[in-house]
Amino acid sequence: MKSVHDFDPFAEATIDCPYEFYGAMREQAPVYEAADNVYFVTTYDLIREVLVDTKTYSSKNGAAFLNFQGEEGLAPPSAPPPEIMEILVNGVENRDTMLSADPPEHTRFRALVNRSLTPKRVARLEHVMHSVVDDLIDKFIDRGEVEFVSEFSMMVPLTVVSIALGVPESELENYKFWSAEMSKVLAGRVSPEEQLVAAQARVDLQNYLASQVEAARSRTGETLVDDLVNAHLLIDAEDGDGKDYRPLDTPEIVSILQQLLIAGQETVNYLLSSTMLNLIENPEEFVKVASDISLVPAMLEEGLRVDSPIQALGRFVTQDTELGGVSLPEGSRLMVMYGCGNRDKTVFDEGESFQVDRVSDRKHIAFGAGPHYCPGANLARLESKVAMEHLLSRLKNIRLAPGKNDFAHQYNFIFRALNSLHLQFDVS
Amino acid sequence: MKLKIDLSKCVMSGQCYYFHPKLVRMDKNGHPELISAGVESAGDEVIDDLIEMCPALAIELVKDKSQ
Repeated sequence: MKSVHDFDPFAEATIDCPYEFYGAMREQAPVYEAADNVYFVTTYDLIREVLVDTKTYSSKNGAAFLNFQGEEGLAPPSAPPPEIMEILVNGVENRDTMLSADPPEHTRFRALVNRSLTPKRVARLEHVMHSVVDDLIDKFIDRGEVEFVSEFSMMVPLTVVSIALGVPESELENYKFWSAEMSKVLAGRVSPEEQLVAAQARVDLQNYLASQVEAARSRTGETLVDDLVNAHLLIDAEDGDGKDYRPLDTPEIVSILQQLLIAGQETVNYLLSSTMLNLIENPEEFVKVASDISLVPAMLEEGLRVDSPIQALGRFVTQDTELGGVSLPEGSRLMVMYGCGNRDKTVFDEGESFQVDRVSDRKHIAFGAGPHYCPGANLARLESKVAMEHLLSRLKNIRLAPGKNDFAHQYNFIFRALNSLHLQFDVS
Repeated sequence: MKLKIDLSKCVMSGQCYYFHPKLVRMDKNGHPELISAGVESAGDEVIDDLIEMCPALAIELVKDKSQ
């Protein structure tokens, strides 16, 4: 077994496969001190303990992400350097709405967003998903091969989320670029030039979204933007007695949309590509699903578990406390390691293996748990299901394209993202 | 009509007890548990919201056999 002392989150071997280190952390240091004042929470039960206690483990102060850019390694978030700030001031003012808020404020925003993403609301998009997926497959099916990430897994959520938000097709390329650049810098170590590009991408996306919000204010529509423009946020009444409501302002809506766009775009891409690779690497499991398409939802849950698209997000410790026998001083930063807890063998039998028909009475935490549970889970589940069902029924004998794959992952500590996946297949 | 949570469908997202703490609480295993007094006094709109927001569709209305 590896030793936690050899763990380097930035080593390329770790990025490509962190799981042996994860196993070592769970056994040797369930709360692992990764850097000064930075701890990884690695076992399933401790992760759940953190996620439901928002008073002790806050999402404020930019807690979700660490600073990955410094030479010294993982560090608490810090103010961006002046050359980045100079770009960011041209965007929309930041608001803490969801990812960076705690209850009760968080709950009020989430209640609004949840309403647009219930299973029922999301099901309205199902017919769109079928045609989006079929159109994408049509484009490559006659070739007998495909670069799965750029031609399919990236394009499915991009197109579906754009339709849900009412982003016109002409903006798709921009939106793909903004989303990719912003996610890269959120959790990977990138060059100073790339940081500037990411900051500009953020500003351009924010200003684009603000213009969409303004447009929605003077029309009647049914997109997510319209929902948010027409929503009423619960607030405390000014006389301190009872409740009141007010509309969301533009920076709040932009904050929400920005999170939905990036989270909704990148994660489904990673889930589809890693699940496809897991199927190919586990031929017996692949046969099970190919011969019984009703296993697709369970297979996707297993894909979420073994290669969680978001491997970790952070929290901020608000008061001196103890977790799993480790003292955590106020102000410490935690990384909550979903992707690690999801392989905890005390919870999941043979947790390292991919079993499409796994039955477990305890559930994976790829979508988190508690107040910050992924609001887009219903959308992600449905679009992934539609995508996989069409793929498995239209393509046969899906296999790796020989000599073309390096299985490299995005140089990113939080997102588990295959850069590319070259496949060959027969047409059914 | 009575409310029921189907624990075999539940994905332990915690959405029900966070967004409707008067209707649902978390038991010691992290599973949701209905609070009868809260459920009985809740209006239809609140009950509908509780049912709709569950990502696992695990909360349902069942016909009360005694009626």
